[in-house]
Order: sequence, then C-alpha cells, then structure tokens
Amino acid sequence: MSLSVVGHIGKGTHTIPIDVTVEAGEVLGIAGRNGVGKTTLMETIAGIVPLLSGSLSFDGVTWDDASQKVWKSPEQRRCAVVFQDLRLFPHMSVLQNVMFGLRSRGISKNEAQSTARMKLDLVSAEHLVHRKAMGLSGGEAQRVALARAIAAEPDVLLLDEPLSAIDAGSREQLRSVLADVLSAFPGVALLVSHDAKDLTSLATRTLTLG
Amino acid sequence: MLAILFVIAPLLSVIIRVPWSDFWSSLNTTAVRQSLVISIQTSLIAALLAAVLGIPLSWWLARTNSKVSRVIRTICIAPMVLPPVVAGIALLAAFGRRGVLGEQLFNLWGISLPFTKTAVVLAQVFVSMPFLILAVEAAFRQTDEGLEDAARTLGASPTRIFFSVVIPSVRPALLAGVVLAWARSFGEFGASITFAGSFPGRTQTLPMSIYEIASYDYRQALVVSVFMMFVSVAVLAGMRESWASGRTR
Amino acid sequence: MKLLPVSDTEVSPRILKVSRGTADKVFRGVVLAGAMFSVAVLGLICAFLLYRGFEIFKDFGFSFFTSSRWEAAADDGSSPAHYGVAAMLVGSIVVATIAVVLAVPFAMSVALYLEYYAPQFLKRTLVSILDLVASIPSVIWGIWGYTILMPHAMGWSKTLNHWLGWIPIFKVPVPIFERSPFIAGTLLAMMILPIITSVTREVYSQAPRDQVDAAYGLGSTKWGAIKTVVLPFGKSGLVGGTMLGLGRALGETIAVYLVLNLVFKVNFHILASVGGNVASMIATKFGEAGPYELKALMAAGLVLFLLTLGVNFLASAIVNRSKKIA
Repeated sequence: MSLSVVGHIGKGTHTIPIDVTVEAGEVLGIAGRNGVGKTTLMETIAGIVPLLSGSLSFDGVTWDDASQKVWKSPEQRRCAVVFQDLRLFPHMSVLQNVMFGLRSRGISKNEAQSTARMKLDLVSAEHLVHRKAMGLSGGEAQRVALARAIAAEPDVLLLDEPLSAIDAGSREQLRSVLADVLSAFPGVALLVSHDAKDLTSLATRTLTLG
Repeated sequence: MLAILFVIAPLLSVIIRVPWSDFWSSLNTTAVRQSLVISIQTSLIAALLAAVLGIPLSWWLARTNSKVSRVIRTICIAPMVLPPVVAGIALLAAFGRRGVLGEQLFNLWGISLPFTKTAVVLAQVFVSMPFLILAVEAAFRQTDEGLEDAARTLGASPTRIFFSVVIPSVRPALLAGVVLAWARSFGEFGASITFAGSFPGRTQTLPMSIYEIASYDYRQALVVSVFMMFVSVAVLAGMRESWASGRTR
Repeated sequence: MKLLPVSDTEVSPRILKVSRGTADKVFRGVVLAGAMFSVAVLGLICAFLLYRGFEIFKDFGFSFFTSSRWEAAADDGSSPAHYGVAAMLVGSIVVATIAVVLAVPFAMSVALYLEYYAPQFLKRTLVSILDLVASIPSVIWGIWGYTILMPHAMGWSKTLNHWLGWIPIFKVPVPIFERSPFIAGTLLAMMILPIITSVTREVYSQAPRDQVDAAYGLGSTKWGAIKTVVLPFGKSGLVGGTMLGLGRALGETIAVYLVLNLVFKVNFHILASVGGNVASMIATKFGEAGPYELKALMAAGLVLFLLTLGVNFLASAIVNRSKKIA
C-alpha cells in the first residue's frame, strides 16, 4: 500500500509542484515556511481541493487525475484529517464526534460507541466522553480530534500541525501520545509541522516544500 | 422620545379601550372559536410546508452563486413585494376553476382548490415563505464550510452532512424563520380572502372573522383583534427570549 | 525526490464528476424537486397574472389608466362593461404619500435616538418592540384605526381644514371628515414606521464612528456631529427605507378599506371622505365579480404589482449603492 502524488497543487494562482510517494507504515513529515502550501497538500490528498495537474493514487486506485477526469470524493477516500483548526462539531458531545466517522460508514451504534471509547482511551481522553465539544480546552480538543480521525479507521492519516495550539507543558505529553498512535497506525501518515523537533521525533522522513 | 410614544401609544390605547368586562363573552362565540381553530390549523400547516419547501431551497440558494440562482432568488422573494391581495388574485389566476393550472387540475383529477382550506394554506405559504427563505439563507451562508469538509473526510454522505452537521448549526435561525413564517401566516388576510374566500367554519380565519365582525360590531372586533395581537406577540416574544438565551449559552 | 517544473498552463478549475450512492441521489432529487416546484409555481403565478391582465389592457387600452369608471355590463346589455383604475391609482398614491410624509420624520428621529441617544437597555427593548409592532396583522391596525384613531383624527382634520382650508388639498366640498385619505394615511404612517426605522437605523449604525468622534473632538455638539456626519451618510438608507415603506403602503388592503370611503372618483382633497386604493378596491369588488370583471381586477392587480415592484427595485438599488460606498 502506498500513496503517491505527482503533479501540481494549489489554490488560485499559486501553484506548487509535488512528486512524492509514501509507503504504509511510514510517517512523512512535511516542513516549509508559512503559506507554501502544506495545508493545500493535505486538502488535495483528502479531496477538498482538486489537483491542478498530474495524478493522485492510493494502493493502485486513482483518487484524482486532472487529465483523465477521475475524481473520488472525500467520503470515498478513507482519508482522515486532523485539521489545524480541528473542526470538531460544536453541537455534538465528544463521544458523538468520535463516533461520527464510524456511523457515517454504517457501523451500528453500539459498536461505534465501544470503538469510540477505546480510541478516546488511546489518547487519554476517556474522561471527556460526555462533555460538549464546544467547551473543551485546546489540548483536550486536540486529543478528541485525533481520536475522531483514527476512529474512522482510515487508510491515510493526515495531521496538520497537531501540536501547535497547545501550551508547552501538555505538548510533551501529547507528543508521546501521538508517537504511540503513529507507531500503531498501519496506513500512510503525513504530518505537517513547522517545529523541527516534532518532525525529528515523530516522522520517519521529512519533505520540505518551497 | 416623543417619537417612541408615537409607536407605543396605539398599543396602549387599544388595551385601555378594550371593554374588559365582556372580554371572554366576546371571544366565546361560535364564529370566533371556529375561525380560531381554522387559523391555528392552517397557519401551522403553512409554516411547516414553508419550512419543508423553503429550507432545502434556501440551502441550495446559499451554496450556489450562478446567474440561475440569482434569478430564482428574485422569483422567490417576489411575493414579499407583491401586495397580498394581488398574490391572492394571482393564485386564483393560476389555480382558479378558470385558471390555467386550475382547469387542468379539475379536468384531470376533479380537484378544485379555490375556496377550500387547502387554498387558505397555499395562500399563506405563498405569502410567508419568502420571509423564511431570506432568514434561513442568510444563516446557511454563515455556516462554517470547514465543518462540512471535515465531515466529508470522515466518510459522511451529503445527506448525512446536511442533517447532522448543517441543520444543527443553523437551528436558531431555522426556528426563527419558521416562527416568522407562522406569524405571517397567522395574520395573513389579503391573499387568503381573495383565493379562499371567507366561509365561516370552512375557510374563515381569525383575521377574516375580525373583518366580518367589524362590519356590525366594532367593540367585539376590537376585543378579538386584541386577543389575536396578544397571541402573536406572545409567540414572537417567546421565540426571541429562547433564541437570545440560546445564543449566549 | 525530483521536482516537476512549474507550469502555469492548466490552472483553470476542473468540473468534478462525482458518483453518489442511491440514498444521496434520492435526497438530492427530493431537494431539487421541492425547490424547483416552488420556483416553478411562483414563476407561473406571475406569468398567469401577466397573461390575464394583458387581455384587459388590449380591450381598454390606455383608458384603463385614465378612466375612473368601474362598471360591469348592464344585465339587459344596454351599457357595456367599463373598467378604469385612475381613481384608485391616484388614491393609492395619495394615501401612500401622506403616510410616507408623516412617517419619515418620526422614523428618522426614532432611528437617531436609538442609535445615538438611548441607553443600551432601552435600545434593546425598543428595538424588540418595534420588531413586534411590525408583525402586528393589518386587520388589527384597521380596527384600531377605525375605533380609536379616527375620532381623534377627525378633530385634527377639522382644525387643519379650519386654518388651512384655503390651500386646495385641505379643502372639503362637503363637511364630512370621516374615512378620508388623511386618516388612512395617518394609519399607514404608523404601520410603516417600524420598517423605515429599522432600515434607517441599520445604515446609521454603519456611520464611521471615527468621523463622528472627530467631529466631537473638534468641539461640535452631539447634534452637530450627527448633522455633519451621520445624516449625509445615512441619506441613502433613509431613502431606501422610505421606499420600502412606500411599497407596503401602496399594497395595504384591509386597514385602508376600514378607514377609507371607497368612491370611484379622482380626489386630491385629502380631508374629504372620498378615496380609494387599488388593493382595497380589489378586495371589495372581488366577492361579486363576474368572470370578465375578475380579469379586470387581475389587470388592476398587475398594475399595482408593477408599481410596487418599481418602488422596491428603486429601494434596493439605492440601499445597495449605499452599501457599496460604505
């Protein structure tokens, strides 16, 4: 299983060339200065932004090809994202947030619930289950977003600055949680960070954009 | 300050002038009770129908920005500037026995809309839906598209996103829109009297009944209209309260 | 890792074809069908009105607008039907104009008071009250106008007539002051006050605070600052709000019907008990109208529709222009 992106990505007039292949089990770190297109790369892989040229494929299946007009929508990609701004559903409880991906894929309520609790346990956030997503602190919300992404059991896990919104103290703690999660993750993982320390400790190799 | 009085004085003077002693006996007549029941029935159905038709439409309007959608938006909002009586006449032109659509309906299925309760509801929907569409579309435009993207990456279908992510985030505005539509329907007069007529027990709504009572007994008409004002003001004020508290939470 | 050369060829957005599940297709279909159905109905209704109305325009030509007679054909066929909306059209405009003339100064001062003078708690309460007043059904206004406003307004009419009777519009041929355009206009003024106020207030609230503060700083009074900064800035908002109010006043039916004596005669004596308005005429004549008269009423409705549409179009154009400048 591998993910490969060859082509140009971008929004509007700013385009960047990309040629990268990531194998399952790898964690590709993405570095680069602000505005260079790290987030756009994530959005392109997830299917929020289409490729401008070239093609994107996973495990031999083409997800997006600009010349052949092939396009798989995000919900068909099994590609979970921890967004930089998290995007937890504010009106739902923590548990409902984590269950969302499972329920969307047609898994029964009971099963989804127990899986969601397990994943919350994995990121040491099991005490938050019944809280509303809206009132969480930065670190808490970050854990929940991570749990929500891995609960969907994706093939590709995209982490966009998963440690940026957290104060230094809990940062170390969350980094070790993240390390555990990533080492147990069987699929392809991409990690965007502007912090060299995150990349050296979590990524298996690093690509610098721009 | 004086100008404020200009607005509030009418309300106060009404309350002062109402013959409170026979308030209940004035209300408790067959005609008033019948029309109140019809008003409540039709306005609730109309608000519901406006919601069912209007919410998806405003969602679509909020998410597309083409020439077509702009034309459609204008058409949707046209009834707002259409004087209600003209709206009623227009409905009759379309659905009346001799109307272009109405004739077909009657010939094909034997359905005749004018002067029925359905006609009352249709007239109310026609007049109130634009208000709902305006309110709800504005809310849809302000929703966070990032949340929808997030839901899609988690494998949710558009239908699921609409019901479990979009709708909950605009719930206050939806509620406000529906209540607004209800209030319009409840007070609707011009369109429904022309399209549905004022038949006691069948199509006569509360405003029509007030209108009829006014032709012989202004005192009673005043009482009934004050009662009606209380009802609609109470509902709207109640909504305002719950909406305000929902927002600050 | 090799980098591709930067190309700027294919940057145009692609049209994405998405395959969807059955449930989604059904849902999309339902949404689209519902939306299209309501749009189609709305569009068709307007089209039918045009279609029906034009028959009458063909039959009567321009005299539909210039004649004041509204007579069905005599049963014995001795006189043909004749329909003209001149009196009602003039009546509509006269009444609506009175309403606007009375309402605008009040609306302006309420808006200014709310935005610049009222304490916060009072402002919130009053804004809510205004919104609630705006949603009071017009039947209630009509009843109120007849039972409570009219006795007072007749007194004002008499005074006006006594002192200003030498001005043509304040003359009365017969000293009856009931159900006159003046009373109807006064009532409509109250009814349209909330909408004018809320539009005006919104524009006033966008007035550049720094300029207001600067005017303060230069030693002008609060009123001075308002006069030099806020009023010029909010002019278009006031005009837009006024037009919206005018649109409503033109289309008002039952309230006008209750407080205005419907007579098919062009009348500019606003205190006299003679008047009318297209909307209330339609409501009155509608009940006993035969098929041909019905068409004439539809034509009258069309005229009214076009008139209000024009006014509203003007209003939105003016408000939009002011938004762009702001």
